[in-house]
Amino acid sequence: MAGNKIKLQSNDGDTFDVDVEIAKQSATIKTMLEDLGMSEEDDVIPLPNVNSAILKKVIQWATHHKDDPPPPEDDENREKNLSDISSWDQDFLKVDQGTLFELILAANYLDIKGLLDVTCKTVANMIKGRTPEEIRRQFNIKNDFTPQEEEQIKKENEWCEEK
Amino acid sequence: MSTLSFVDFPVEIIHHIFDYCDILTIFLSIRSVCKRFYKLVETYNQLNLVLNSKTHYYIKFLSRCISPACVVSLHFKNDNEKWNLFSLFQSLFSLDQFTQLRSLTLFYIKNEDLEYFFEHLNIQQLISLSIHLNLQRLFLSNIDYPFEQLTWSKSNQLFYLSIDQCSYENYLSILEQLPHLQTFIMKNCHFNYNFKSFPSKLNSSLKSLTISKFSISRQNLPLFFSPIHSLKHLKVISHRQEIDYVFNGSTWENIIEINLPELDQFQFFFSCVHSDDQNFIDLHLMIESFRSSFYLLTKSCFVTSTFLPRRREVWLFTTPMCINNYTCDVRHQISWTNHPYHFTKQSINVTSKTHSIETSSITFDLGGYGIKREGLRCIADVLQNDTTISLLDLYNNGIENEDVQYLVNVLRNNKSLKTLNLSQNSIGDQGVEHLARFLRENQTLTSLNLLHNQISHDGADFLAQALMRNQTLTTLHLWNNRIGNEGAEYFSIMLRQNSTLKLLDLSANQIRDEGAMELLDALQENQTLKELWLWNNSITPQSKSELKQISNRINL
Repeated sequence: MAGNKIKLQSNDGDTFDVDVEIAKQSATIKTMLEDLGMSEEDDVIPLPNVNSAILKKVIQWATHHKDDPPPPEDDENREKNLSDISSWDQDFLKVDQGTLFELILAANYLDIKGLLDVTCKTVANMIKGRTPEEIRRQFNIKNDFTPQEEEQIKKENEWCEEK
Repeated sequence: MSTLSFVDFPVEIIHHIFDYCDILTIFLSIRSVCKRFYKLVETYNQLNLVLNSKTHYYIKFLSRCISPACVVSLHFKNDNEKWNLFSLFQSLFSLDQFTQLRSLTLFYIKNEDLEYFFEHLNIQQLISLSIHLNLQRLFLSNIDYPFEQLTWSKSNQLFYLSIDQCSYENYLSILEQLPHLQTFIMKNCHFNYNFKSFPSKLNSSLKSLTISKFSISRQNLPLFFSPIHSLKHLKVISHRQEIDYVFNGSTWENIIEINLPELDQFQFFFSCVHSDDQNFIDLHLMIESFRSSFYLLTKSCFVTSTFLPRRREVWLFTTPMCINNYTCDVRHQISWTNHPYHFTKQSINVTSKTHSIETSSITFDLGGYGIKREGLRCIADVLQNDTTISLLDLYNNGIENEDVQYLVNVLRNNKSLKTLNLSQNSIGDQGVEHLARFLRENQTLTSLNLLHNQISHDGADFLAQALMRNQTLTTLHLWNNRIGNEGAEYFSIMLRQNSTLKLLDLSANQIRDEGAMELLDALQENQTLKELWLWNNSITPQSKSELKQISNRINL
């Protein structure tokens, strides 16, 4: 049996019909539905910070993960294991950097913990073991240290050479 | 090309990414990328300092750039015998600067190292720990250390100890050798054989004891608690196989009165999966033994018992709840007060005062939870006692005809329910017959939703007849059943007599032109019905336009 649906509207005007249970993985939408007492049947929820392409990806992710158990609340036991991204998520996140970043911002705005975790993990994996210069190149970041500052950092880092 | 740049992300996202980076990546790589990252690394205060053979070479470097106050977790893994990590660590850091440390983990520590560690902690560190009180856990995991063989320094000041495994021998030895120990936390206790008797006098000053996986048999309880007369706080958590002695208030009352005279805070959480549909757990009976003056007045211990239909779990716990890894779930709850059954979804810990003050209307939104029989039984108990519930939502719960009969019997004397949602269930004509009987007598219900069920023309007949008597129902949804033309005819007869119904929804019911025309005729004699919904029926386009012309009250 099909559950109730709601309509989500992206910032470029497209609307998407989504099962309420799927949409509620977003704590932001869940709050809107529950606190503001929006009737699920016909109201459209506008999402001014998300465009259609990204919203489509987010819905795809949430649909795949709709039966996942809720993430543990106990922060102390938070898994920091980098390798535990499921193969589905790995495939799902084989996207260009711009899309990955937009997904992170969307997950942050929509407050979807699981998606935020897995996208942040993906970025962490891209950083892990890289040199500063490699990170700059990978993410197109400008080195804005002054030569003096750079010298200072170099000096600090030299400490680790001492064995 | 996207203009988004990683560097401009909000700080919380970048710190979230740091959560998944190891300490060397953060300090060797990220910090040196650009100014903003340098700053963000400096303000990041969730550091997980890992010291093992791999990070060993960097420890001096780390000691220069890390502020110990930003470290929340300290992780020792002595996996290379060449180095004594702890002494190196001690020469570079001072333990008392780790003011935000939440977790200290020691892996594969050799006995003499552990001893060494305790010695240091005893002599130098522990006093400062007691001053700062910030080390929340001395957490020893994966260490198979024979505690009973450890000779603690006579002058040790250890007052807080948390360990994973604790045997009977450990327990005795710890109590004997740590006279200053005030708080003792054990995760697993292995006490399942018969105890020998304890030494008659133990000089323990233990004030607080927590056992997170309690498994002491009933007969061993007195012996276990007898050496810790000074205990003021006891916290016990246990997931039981069955409803046994721990769920009985008098068990604990006896133990506390005889063995723990000083106890003034007793916290517990007991749970048990109950999947037996036949034997319903009587929460009333369970809570009764915790309603004595001993609990309520002497010990100020307020107990709540709960059944969670979705998990099929029974919980018995002191309020406020002493564990926090459970999310809120719809549950059937009864507390220490004399208030009857209570359905709630609100956070468990806010209930202490609100129990006695009932609001004028309560919503049972059980939508989609697959509540089945015992859930229905809970609802029945609540409805029989409660006079304030105005809306009952049982959407998509696999409710069948017999369940409707049960529900209707319970609702017979109810005078508060205004809205009943039974959509997306498996209700057929037989179930509707029970509902019709209810509608004939009831004088409060205004809205009934039977969308997506299995109602045919016979069910329509029952409903139509009931509505000729009923004078309160204003909304009836029957979307997606199969009442057909015959059903439409019964409703048209009803519409000629009924003068309360405002919205009748017969969409998706296989109604054809003749049925629709019958309804249209009836509308001429009915002035109260504002809307008749006939979407998704088998009405021809010609008839549709005809119907629309004659009446603007028909939606199709």
